[in-house]
Amino acid sequence: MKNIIVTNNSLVVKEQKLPCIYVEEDADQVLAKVRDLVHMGYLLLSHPLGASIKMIHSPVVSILMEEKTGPMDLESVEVIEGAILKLRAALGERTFDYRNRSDYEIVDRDRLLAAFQELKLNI
Amino acid sequence: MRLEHRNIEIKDIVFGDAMKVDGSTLVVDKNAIIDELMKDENIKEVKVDLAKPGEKTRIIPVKDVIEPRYKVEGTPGFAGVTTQAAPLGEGIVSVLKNTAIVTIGDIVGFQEGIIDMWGEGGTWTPFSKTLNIVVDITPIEGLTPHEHEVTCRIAGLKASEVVGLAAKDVEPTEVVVYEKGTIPEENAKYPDLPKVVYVEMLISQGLLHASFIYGTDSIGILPTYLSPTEELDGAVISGNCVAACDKITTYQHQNNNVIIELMELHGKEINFVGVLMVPELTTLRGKFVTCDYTAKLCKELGADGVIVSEEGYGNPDSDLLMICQRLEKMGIKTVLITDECAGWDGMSQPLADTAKEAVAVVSTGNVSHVVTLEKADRILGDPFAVANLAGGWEGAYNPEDGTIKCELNAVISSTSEIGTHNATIELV
Repeated sequence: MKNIIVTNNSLVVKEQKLPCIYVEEDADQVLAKVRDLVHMGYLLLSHPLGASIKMIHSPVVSILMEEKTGPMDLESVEVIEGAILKLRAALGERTFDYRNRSDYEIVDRDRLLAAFQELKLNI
Repeated sequence: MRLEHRNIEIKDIVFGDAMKVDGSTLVVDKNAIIDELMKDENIKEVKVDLAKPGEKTRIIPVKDVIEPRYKVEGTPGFAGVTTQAAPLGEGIVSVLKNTAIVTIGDIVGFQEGIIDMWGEGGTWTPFSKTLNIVVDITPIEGLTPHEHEVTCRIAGLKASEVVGLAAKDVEPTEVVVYEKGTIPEENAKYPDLPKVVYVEMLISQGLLHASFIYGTDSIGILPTYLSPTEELDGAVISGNCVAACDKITTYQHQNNNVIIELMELHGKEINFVGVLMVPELTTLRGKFVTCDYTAKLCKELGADGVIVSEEGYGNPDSDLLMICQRLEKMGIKTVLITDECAGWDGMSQPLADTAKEAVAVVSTGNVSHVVTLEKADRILGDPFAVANLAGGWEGAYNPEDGTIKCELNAVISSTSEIGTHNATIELV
């Protein structure tokens, strides 16, 4: 079992020992990358959306996955497809909130650490 | 367990030299609050202001709201946090009704919690009707965001205890008793009434998305049982401060309307079994474990019906519906309480997830509903945060007339998912 992080959060890339797939675009493109990986058979370990409306405005997001090839995990497909649709709808006419990018990076990193804590990944 | 709330109705608030209640006026000794909070070496400065209903005052960015109380009998304070760990939920509490401690200060730049004490904004937030003691906490330099958050959280709780001392030896204007025996005792008393469990979901996902039960971060727990009076006695504390509209403040935990309503119906229409505190975790595995566990606990408790309230928006929607699916499949009737993120026109899919089992859903409002906030005469907090709020979309802030166009998601408790809010339903 090998875990990876798909992210556009430079803090996470700098600090994490886990392998990262770095996406040089906004959160919606990180989700698109995750969807592609799910279609290749990767498993979603952390939920792609944050827990508050403000985190939906975050241009940065980090998602924990398990590297795997084979048949698609239908649960992961359903969650990532739903998340992509919801992100678009919730943003509406907005763009991402770029002005507070560095603060979003801190909160996003913390949610990732929460996922490690839940899964008892000693990283 | 028996908890007695001795409510003291407060109609006005002023600064003075001693913390006391004079008739129906709360006299606040500003220095007593400052002296107590400045004992924390992480705090550089504390400012205290008052904000009354009707004033053109805007408070931003709000971190938490807490009700000032004094424990006459029983475990004092927020046990496990401001005082020694001990069971809560029993005894006598004097409550300074209509008053609130409001802590402010930006921990991160995108915090958008507004309380307007008047006008359009005031109609949406319940805290425009409380007499607010606004505590602005400036930390020392160099704190991490985590340290900053803890400092402000504890400072708010302590401020509420210092102000609560004013309630000591004051005769109440109303006494409310919440009393319930053990589960077997109540089952024997009301064998024919349907058993109802309340499932309260709590955001448990790290910085600014955290909740605490007896001081324990709910990120590390499996769903757990609380007697209803424990939460009404301060066992649950908020550590959330980003999504203003559906953040459940500590005040709302202390006055959880779902619990109060169910206690009112207990022994008459229902047998209220108790409260399950359920963490909203960030991993899919965590979500499955907590949702399975929640459904199992409800079944083991013999629930005929369950009421589930959500906190937050986004990934918690999945937990809400997974709990609903599991309960309905077990034959347990389930009612969900949630708000909607349904777009400016209210026509988009309201939740991030759907389930055919969710047939009884109470909406507490559309967080995307757009409101116009008038220009304030006075801003308590960070005026920059107002400008920041306006960054939601081009032209939202009008610098010429000072108005702000924003979604309800910026207004504290405008769509509270445990019912302490002003929105209601109009039949058309």
